[in-house]
Amino acid sequence: MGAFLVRLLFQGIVTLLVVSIIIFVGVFAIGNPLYVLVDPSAPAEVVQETLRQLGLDRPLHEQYVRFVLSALRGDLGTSYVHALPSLELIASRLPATLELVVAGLVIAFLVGVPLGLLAGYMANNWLARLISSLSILGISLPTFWIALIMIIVFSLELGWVPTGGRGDVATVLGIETSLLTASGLAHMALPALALSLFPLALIIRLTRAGVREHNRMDYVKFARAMGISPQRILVSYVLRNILIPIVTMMGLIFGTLVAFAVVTETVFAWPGIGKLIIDSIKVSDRPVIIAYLLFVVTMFLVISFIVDLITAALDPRIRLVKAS
Amino acid sequence: MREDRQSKLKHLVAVAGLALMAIGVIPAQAAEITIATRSEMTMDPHFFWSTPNRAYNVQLYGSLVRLDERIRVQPMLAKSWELVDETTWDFQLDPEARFHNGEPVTAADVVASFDRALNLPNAAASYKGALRGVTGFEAVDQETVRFKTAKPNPALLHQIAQVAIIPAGVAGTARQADFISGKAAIGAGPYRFVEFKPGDRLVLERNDKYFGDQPKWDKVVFRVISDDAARVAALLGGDVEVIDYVPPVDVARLEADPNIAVHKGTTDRTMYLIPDTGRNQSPYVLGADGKPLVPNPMLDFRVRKAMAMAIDRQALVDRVMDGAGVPANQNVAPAVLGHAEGMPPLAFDLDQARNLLAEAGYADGFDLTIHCTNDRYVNDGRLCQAIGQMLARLGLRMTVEALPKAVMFPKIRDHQGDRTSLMMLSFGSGTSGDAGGALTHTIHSYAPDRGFGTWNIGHYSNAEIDALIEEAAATLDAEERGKVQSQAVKRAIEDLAVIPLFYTSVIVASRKGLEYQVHADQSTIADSVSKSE
Amino acid sequence: MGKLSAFTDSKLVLLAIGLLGITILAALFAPWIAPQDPYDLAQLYILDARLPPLTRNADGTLFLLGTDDQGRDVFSAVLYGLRISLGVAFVATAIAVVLGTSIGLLSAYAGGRTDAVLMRIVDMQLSFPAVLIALMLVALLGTGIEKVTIAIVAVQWARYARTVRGAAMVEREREYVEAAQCLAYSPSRVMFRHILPNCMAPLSILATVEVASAISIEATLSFLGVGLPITQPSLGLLIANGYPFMLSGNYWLSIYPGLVLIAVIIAINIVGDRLREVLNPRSER
Repeated sequence: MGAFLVRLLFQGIVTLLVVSIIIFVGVFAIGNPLYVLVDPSAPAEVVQETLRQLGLDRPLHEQYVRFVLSALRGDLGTSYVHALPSLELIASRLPATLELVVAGLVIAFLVGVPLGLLAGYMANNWLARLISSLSILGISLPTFWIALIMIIVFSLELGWVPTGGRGDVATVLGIETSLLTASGLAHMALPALALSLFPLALIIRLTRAGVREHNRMDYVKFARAMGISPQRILVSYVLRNILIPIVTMMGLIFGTLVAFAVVTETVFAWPGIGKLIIDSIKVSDRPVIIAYLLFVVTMFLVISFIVDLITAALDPRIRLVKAS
Repeated sequence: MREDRQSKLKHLVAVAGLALMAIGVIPAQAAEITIATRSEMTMDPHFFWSTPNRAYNVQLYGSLVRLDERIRVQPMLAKSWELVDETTWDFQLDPEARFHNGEPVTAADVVASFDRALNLPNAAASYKGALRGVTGFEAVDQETVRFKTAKPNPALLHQIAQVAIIPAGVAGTARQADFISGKAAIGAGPYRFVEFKPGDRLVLERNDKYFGDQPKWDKVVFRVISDDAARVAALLGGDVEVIDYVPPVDVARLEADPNIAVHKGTTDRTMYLIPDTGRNQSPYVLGADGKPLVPNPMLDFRVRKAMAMAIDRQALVDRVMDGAGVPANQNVAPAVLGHAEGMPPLAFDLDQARNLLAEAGYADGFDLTIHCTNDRYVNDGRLCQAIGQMLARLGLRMTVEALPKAVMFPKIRDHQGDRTSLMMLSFGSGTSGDAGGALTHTIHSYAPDRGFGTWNIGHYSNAEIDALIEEAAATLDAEERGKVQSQAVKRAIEDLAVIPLFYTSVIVASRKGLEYQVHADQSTIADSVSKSE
Repeated sequence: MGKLSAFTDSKLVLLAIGLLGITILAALFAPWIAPQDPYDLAQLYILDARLPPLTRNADGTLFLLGTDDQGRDVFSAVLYGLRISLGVAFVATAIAVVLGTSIGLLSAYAGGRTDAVLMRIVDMQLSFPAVLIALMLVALLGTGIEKVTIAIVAVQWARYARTVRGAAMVEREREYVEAAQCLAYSPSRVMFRHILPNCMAPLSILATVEVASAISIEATLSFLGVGLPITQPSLGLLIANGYPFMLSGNYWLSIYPGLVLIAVIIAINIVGDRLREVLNPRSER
C-alpha cells in the first residue's frame, strides 16, 4: 500500500507539471492579459511598466520557472481582479459549487434510479422508451436556455422560488452552506434542478440497462423459480447489484458537473467556482485560470484514484462469483 | 477602545428599539435597497482601476473630488482647490470630513492613499494609469495637499477623482484580504462596510456621521448578476429593486410592466468603426483572386466615404439597439466638452455610396473582414453582423469576425501584430471629462513613446490634427480647450479618420416608486436612487 | 426482412425513423428547400429583423417562422442550422468514440505504466473546460466549425476512454480473453474482436447521451462567444442568439430551433436505443 501511494503521488505530481505547462502555453497564446484588464485610457508606458513588474514581458519558459518556484512555496499567484491569492479565492468559492453539485447529484439519484428501475422492469413498453427518451431532453437543450425557461416558469410566472443568487447561508464547522436555511434551499432549487439534468439522463439509462442485463442472469432466474415476487427481486437483489456501478459512475460525473456548473452558475448568479472561472477567462485573469485548472486536475486525480479502488474492491460480478 | 464603546452604543440602540416596539410605537421603516449590478467589485480600493470600481469606492471610501452624473467635478473630501501656478494645484480638505472610525481626514491620509495607489505591488490594472503626468504630491499642512504636474494638465481633477482615500494607518499596513473581511474597509464615504461575499454581494449601511449630504438609504445591498437576462428576471421577480445595464431589447417589456420604471439617459460614449488607413497592404482586405489588395482601398477617401454612406445609422439604432442610442456625426458625444457643433449628419445613401465606390475603381467590391468584440459593448456582436450586412449591400464581400475581448484586445492593442482592417470600437470620456481622452488615444498618430494613439488601431496619421490635439492637452482654460478640441474633431471626421455610428445610452430600471438619476459614465450609485414623491 | 420488421416493432420507433429521415433529407436538401440563403449577408435586411411568424416584409416575402434579430428567415436558418448541428455532433462524436475507445482499450489491456500514463492524460483532459479550449483555439485560429468540433472532441473523448477502460478491465480478467491469448491472437485482435464487443453496453449508452450533449456544448460555446461564426448559425447558435429575446416576448427566435432540436434528439435516441437492442449480442430476443 505504501509503495502504491508513493507511485500515485509521483503520478499526480507529473500530471500537475504537465497540466501547468499546457495551460501556461495556452494562456500565453490567448494573449497579453493586461490589454484586456487595464482601463482603455491607461497610457502605454504604464502598461509596459506593469508588464515588467508582473514579469509578463519575460520569455515563456522564464515565466514558467518563476511560477513553479513560487508554486513550490504554495503561492499560485494573486488574482489580477480580485486582489486575493488565487487559491484562497477558489477555496472561498468552492463550498457554493460543491453543495450545488451534491444537491444536483442527489436529485438525479433520487429521481433517476426509480425511473430507471421502472423503465428496465417494463422492458419494451412504450412508457419505458418514453422515460429514457425524455431524459435525454434535459441535456440536448443548452443549459442556459433551460435555465432561463425555468426562471420564467417557476420564478416569474408561478413565483415559487427566487430568480437567482445564493440566499442565506448557515455556517457549520466553519463552512457556509445553503442547505440548512429555508431561503438557501429556495435559492438552490432551480440551479440544482438544472444541474441534475445531465446525471439524471445518464443514471436513468444506466439503471435501465443494468436491470435488463441482470434480469437475464442466473441468480434472478433462480430467485424467480423460488417464487420471490418480481418487485422484491428488483429492489432487494437487482438494485443492490446495479447500484455499485452507478455510484462509481457518479464519482466521475461529480467531477464533470463541477465543469458543467459554469453556465448554470452564470445564469442563476450562483457565486461558485464555475462562475469564477468563466469570469476569469473573460477578463484573462491568468493566475485564477491556472490555479483553477491545477485544482480541478487534482480533484480528478483523487476521484479516479478512489473510483479505481472501489471498482477493484467492490465489483459486483467478482463478488457474485465468490458468493456462488 | 473606541470599538468597544461603539458596540455598547449599538447595543443600547437595539435595546431602545425593542423597548419602543414593546410599547407599540412603530419606528420609521428602515430604508433598504437592493441593486443588481453587472460588475463585480474589487474591495481593495487601490488594486484594480476601472469605472465600476471607482463607483463603489466613492460610495464607501470617498475621494478628494467626485464626478457627478454628467462627469463634472464636484467637491468631496476637498472642499476647494486652486492653481498655485500652471503646474501646481493646492487642495483644501473639508475640516468636517471624518473616516468611519471617527478620525479626521488629513493631508497625510491623502498622501498615503495616493502613494499606495501608485505603488501597490501585483496590481495589474494599476491606478498609476489614472495619474499620468502627475509628478508629485505632498502635504503642505494638516488640511492642504499639493499636486505637481509635468505640464499644464487640465485633466488633473478627473484624474484624482479616480483615487479612493483611506486612513494612512490602513494604507500602510492593510493586506488585500483585510478589505474583503472588512477589517481594513474604512473610508470616509457616505456608506460603511457591512459584509462582502465575493462574486455574490456587497452590503453597505448608512454612515450617520457623513459630513456631506446625508445618505438616502439605511442599508444598501449590491448583488452581482452578470448575465443580462438573469438581471432583468431578478427585477421582474421582485428579488431586487434596481438593475443596471438593462439590455435595450427588454426596455419595451419593462416599460409596459405597471410595477417597473425605466430610467434612460445619454452616455459619454460613441460607437464607431476604425478603417485601416495606415498600411498600403491591409491583412483582411483581399481582391477577387483571394490575394491581398494593394494598395489598400481604404487609403482612398472615396472608399471610406462610400462605407460611411452605406451605413444606415437610424436602422442600427432602431433595429439593433431598440432605440438605445442616437445616430452620430462625430466621435465625441454631444454633452462632452470638445463636441463639434454644427457638423452635418452623416447621410445614408446607398446609390451614391455605390457610385463613389465605383469612382474609386472598386465597382466589383473587395473582400473585407470586420472585427468586433462580442462581450464588451451592448449588442456588439449583433451590431457587427448588421454592419456586415450594410457593407455587403454596398457590394463588399464581407466576413464578420466577432471575438471575445480576451482575444480581441490583445490582438489590436499590441501594435506589432496584424491588428484589423476594419473594426468596431467604442470610446468614452469619463477619465478626461472632455474630448481629450478620445482624441489623444484614438485620433492622434500612434506614438507609444509619447503616450499617444494607444487605441489608434487604424494608424491614421495627420500632423495638423496631432498639433491641435497636443495644443488642447496643455490648455488649462476650459472654453479655449473645447474650441481647439472641436476643431480637431471636425478635421478628423471630415477626413473620416474613423466612421462614427451612434452615441450610446445608459438604461437603468427599478421597481415603480423609485427614481434613478443615470450617470453618463454608467456608474451605479446608491444615492442616485430615490423614492418618487 | 424479418430483421427489419423486428426492428420497427412499435409505432414509436416507426415515427422516430420517419422523423429522422425527413430531418436528414431536409438538412441535405436545405439549399433547394430554403427560401433564403441565411448565410449570405447580402440577402439579409436589418429592417426585416424580428418579424413574427407568418408575416410579410415590405417586399411581400413571407416568413413562415418569422425572422431573427438580423432579418434572417428562421425557417431557412433552421434548415441550414440542422446541417451544421447534426454534422458537428456526429463528426465530433465519431472521432471522440474512436479515439476514446482505442485509448480506453489500450489502457485496460496494456495495464501497468501505459495505463497509468493514459489515465493521467484522461484526468488532465477531463479537467479542461470546453470554454477554455475553445477560447485558445479561437485565439490561435479564429472562429470556425472545425475549431468547435475539435473543442467538443477534446471534451468528450476522455469520458469514453474512462468508461471503456472500466468495462474492459473487468472483461480482461475473463477466461475467454485468457483463451484467446493462449491461442496467440494479436493484442489488437483480442482488444477489438473480443473485449470491445463486451464493452458495448456502457459505451453505447454514453454515446447516445453524448451526441445530445455535443449539440448543447456547441450551443453553449456560442452562448459564451467562442463558438461558430455568428453569420453561420447552427441550431444551437440560433438558440443562443434568441436567448436575449426570451424575456421580451420574441419567442420564435429560439423556440422553433429548440423544438426542432428536441424532435431530432428524441428521434435519434429512440432509433439508437432500438438499434442497440437489436444489435446487442446479449439481447434477450
